Order: sequence, then C-alpha cells, then structure tokens
Amino acid sequence: MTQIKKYDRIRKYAFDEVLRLPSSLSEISKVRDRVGGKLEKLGYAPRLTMNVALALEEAMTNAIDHGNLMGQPVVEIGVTVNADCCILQVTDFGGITFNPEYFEKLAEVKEWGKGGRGIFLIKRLMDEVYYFFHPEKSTSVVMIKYKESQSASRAS
Amino acid sequence: MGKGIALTAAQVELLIATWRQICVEEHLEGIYALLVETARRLTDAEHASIALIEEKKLKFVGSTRNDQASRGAIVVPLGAGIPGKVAQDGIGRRIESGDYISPVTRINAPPAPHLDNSSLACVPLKVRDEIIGTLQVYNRIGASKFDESDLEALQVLADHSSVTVERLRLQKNLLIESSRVRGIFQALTDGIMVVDTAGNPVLYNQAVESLFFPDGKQNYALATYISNVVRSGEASGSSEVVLLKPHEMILSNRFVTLPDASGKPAEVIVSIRNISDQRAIDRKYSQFYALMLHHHYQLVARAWKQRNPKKLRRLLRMQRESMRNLISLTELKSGPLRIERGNCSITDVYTKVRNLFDRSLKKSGLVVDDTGFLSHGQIAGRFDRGRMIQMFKTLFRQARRILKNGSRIIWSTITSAGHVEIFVSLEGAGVSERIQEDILDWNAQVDRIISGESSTLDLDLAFLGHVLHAHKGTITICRDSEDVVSIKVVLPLG
Repeated sequence: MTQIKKYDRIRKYAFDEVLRLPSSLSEISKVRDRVGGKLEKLGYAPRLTMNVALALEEAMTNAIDHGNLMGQPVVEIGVTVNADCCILQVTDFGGITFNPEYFEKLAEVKEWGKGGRGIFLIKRLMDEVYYFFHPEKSTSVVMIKYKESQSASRAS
Repeated sequence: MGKGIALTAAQVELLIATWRQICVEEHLEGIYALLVETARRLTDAEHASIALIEEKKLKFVGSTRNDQASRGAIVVPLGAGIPGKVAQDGIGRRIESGDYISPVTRINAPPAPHLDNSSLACVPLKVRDEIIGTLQVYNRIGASKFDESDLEALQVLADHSSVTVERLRLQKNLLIESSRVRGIFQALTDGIMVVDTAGNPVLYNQAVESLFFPDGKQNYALATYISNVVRSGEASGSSEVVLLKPHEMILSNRFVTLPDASGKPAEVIVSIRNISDQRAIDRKYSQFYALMLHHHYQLVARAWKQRNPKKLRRLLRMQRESMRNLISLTELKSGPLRIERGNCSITDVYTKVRNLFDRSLKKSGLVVDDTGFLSHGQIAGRFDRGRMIQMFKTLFRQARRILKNGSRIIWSTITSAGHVEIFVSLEGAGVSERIQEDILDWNAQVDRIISGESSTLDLDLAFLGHVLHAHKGTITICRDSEDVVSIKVVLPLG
C-alpha cells in the first residue's frame, strides 16, 4: 500500500494549468511559446525544450485534426512543469479511438504514404507517452519529459 | 413466564448465570456448549443438544454427549423426528415414558421399536417469529418423563439465547463470506483498485501491483490515468489506455464512483485489465492487412500503366495471387476457418490437380516423380474437397515458383493409424535458399517487411497451414540440404 503512494512526490492529480483553446491550428504557437517559456525559466536545456515544443505541436495538430472531424469547438491542454519533469496532456473531444502502436509501426515502413508520423515523432521525442481513450467522448495524449532526460540528444 | 410459569430459585439463578456468560462469549461453539449444558441442568436431563436450520435441513451443532464429535454432524430433514417437526411448525413437543403424544393431533404415535430415549422435550429457537433451530433434552434423571414445566423452562432459555445464537451465526457466516470475497478479489486477473476522491489508493488487489510495478519499475501512467478518472468526476465510464512508452502495455478500464451517505462522491472503483496480448494480435493483423492492401494497390497501378502485354500478364497474375491472399486473410479474420467435410479421394484430387499443372510444369522443365504416391492406390477419407484442391495447387505452385529448370518434384505417401502423410521433396540447385525458414509464420514475414529486410510476402504456405489446421492436420517444412527441401503434410483420414 505504501509503495503506490510514492508517486505523490512528483505527480499531482491536477495539472498546474489547464488551457481550453479554440480548436484551431493558429492556437498552437501560443501554447508552444508559453510552455517553452516556462521550461526556459526552470533551466531546461534548449534542445530538450525544442523537443517538448515539437512533440506538443504534433500532439495539438493531431488533436485539432481529429477533433474537428467530429465538430469539437475546443481542445484542452493540461500543463504541469516543475524542477523534475514536464507533463503535458492534450485532449480532443472527437472521441475517435485508434491504435497508436499500429500507426507508429506503419510510419516506420519505408515509402509508406501517410499517417502515424506525429505519433512516431512524439514517442521518440518524449520520455513517457500514454493515450487515454474515452470512446465517443475524448482522447488524451499524456507526454512526459524529464529535466535530466537521457534521450535528449538521441531524440534530436 | 408470561403464562405464569414458576421457575425454581435454582433455575432462575442458573439462567441468570448463563445469560451473563453468554454476554461475554465470543465463539459460537462456546455458546452451543453453554446452552446445552444449561438445558441439561435446567431440566435434570441426561443429555441435551442444539440443532440449527441450514438450507432447509436441521443440523445438530452441539451436544452434551462426549461422543458427539466422533459420531459426526447429524442432519435431518425438516419434519423428520421430534426436533424436525418442532423446527417445522415451532411447537414444543415431548415424549413421555417412551410414548409420543402429538400436540397437533393429540394421538399416540406407534411405538418406535428401538427408542433410546424414554423421554424427550424439545422447544424451538425463534428470532422474531422465525424458527432458527431447536433445543432438546433427553431422559430425565430419576423420573420417567419431562413435564410441562420442563418444557416451558427450556423455552425460557431458548427465547433468551436465540438472538445471540443467530447474531454469532450471522457474524461467522459473514466472516466466511468476507474471506471468500477477499480471496476472489485477490485472485482476479483484472486489477481492482479503490481510490478516494483525491486519488489515493484505499484498496487494491495483487493484479494492480503487477500493473503498477511492471518489471519492478513504477508505472506512472496508471497514476496519471487514475488522476484523470478522479478529475473527470463522472459517475461511471470505461476507457482504454495505451502506455506507448516506456511500458508498451494496453489497458482496458472501467470505473464507478460510489457516493457517501449524503450523495457526494466518496470513492472510485477502477477495474483494470491488461489487454496488450489481444491488441498485439489485432494490431499485427491490421498491419498485415494494410500492407497487403498497399501492395495490391501498387500492383493495380503498375498494371494500369503497363503497355507490354507479357509484363502486363505477369502483373495481373501477381495481382490475382494478392487478391487470393486478401480473400484468405478476410476468411480467417471472420472466425475459425470453416470446412465442409465429405467423402473424398486424395488420389483423385491429386491426379486432377496434377493434370492441370502438367503443361506448365513441363514448360518450366520440372520433372514430377509421383510413383511413390500413386502406387499406394486409392487414399480416401473425410476431407473438404475444395480445400484439398487448394492444398495440391498451392504445393505445385510453390514448387514451380522456387525450382529451376531440370529440378525434380518427388511425391510419396504413407498411411498409418488413421492418418495419411504426404511428402513432397523439392530437389534442385540452391532450393533451400529460396524457401524461408519461417515461411509458415506470416507475422514473421510482416516483421521483416517493417524492418526493411524483405519487400515481398509469400503467404501461400502460411494459409495452407490454416487449411490443414482446420482439418486437424499439420504441415512441416524441412531444409534437408542446400539442394533439397521436403514438405510433410499430415492429415487425419476420419
């Protein structure tokens, strides 16, 4: 029982900041700059900040594209940035389920036309990636990057 | 006592002492022992016993007899014997001097031939008018019978102790049930977790531990997921979580929020199932199908643009093969492969297919030696004729594909113990190199395409494996030497 409680140390049950933004591609740069600024202030390495920004862009593009198919008005971005790690959650309200592993693998196939590149990139740029599917309600992607990430140079 | 029953001072003293002891007794067996001993002393009986109703039967659970334990638990149907009758209608009964007078009919029952008890008094144990059992005493010491006052004194004891008996019995059952539920909870392969509204774990089973700490490392994704569920504030729901990195797990979840007495959310129960293996199969299939469809489109596009008739024919042949594979794959995805068994001669089917391929094999310069097959005579069994034709066509097609001019295809067969074994030996220079070791495993072929090691699929034999499996048969491929590959097919005849 006590073992599980360990995650309280660095994980919170609520994000520091939850942004509800119009489901428009033009909003991406605002969020990216805002998160990038926070990371810089906390002393995250520039390359690591760039990776997080790129993953966030990809996740938001996917969320807006998928959500807009079902006519969603907004997307939701949860942001928690602290001295240990940066946790981002991008939620669309399209509620379309898909298998991210499948798209990620397809993106690895050479000469394959389309699909899965965003997931492929996010997985390589971030330390932890989770997808939460609530069918016909919402889809969230949670992306986590540690400040002392070992994969910063490899990913870039 | 309400009827004005006069208890002696000794009886009252005994009852008061007994009730005091009952108040502090924690074990049901202790209460039984106390009650039967008090009943015996209260009525000056030789023995006393207590029986409780369990699943429409009366079970004797306690006695003053020392040999009761060795005799085992006595169980009688309701209505059988004096205690059975008392347990059924709740009316106390007596046997006087070996004669039983029914309080219902008031007539003497026929004497029992070997009645051990010359006298008996039996009263019901009741809780709020519900009969839960009986208390009985046997053979009065120094007198031939129990009288009405004994019966009523016994009833006083029964009335004042039955609630305690029932409460302790319920408590014991509750403990057994609780232990069983806890065992089920722990044994569940699904993770079950109860968290408070702040997301703190309250209770969880062993399956959760393995999900929270896969390979001994903490799974923060699950913590994040739990926080999402709690944050959503929904009464119930389901979701799927793909832990893409680093755990590579897929979890299926259901959650229910339980309210407290005032209706506010108090706890969230989350059930978590690891469905990674199932999803891996589905994913593999999807990838496989997508790849085959992609190759098929490419073939169609190339054939559409092709102006050279010879090349066009070749492309259309490839397209036909690709289409056949797609159909087989669709057939397999729709459930277990269906076969329609009937009386079928393997020899006739082989001869028919052999004739079909005769011209093209000669054109390719391949020599077929099937004396070892045809000399065996007719081999008949219960097979799906269409599938058998498909099997021989596939084997001939494979041979034609991988063998070069001047190579040999040698057919032979053995029948034994209800089985037929068909051997195809492909003999030609470097034939082993042209047949993959894992040709029967289509997943391995997809993996090679994804990793870029290979750009083509060769699925015919893999599909044939499914056809044979549906017949409860097998196929094995053996690379005997650099120039010899043998394929062995085993089929049951019945």
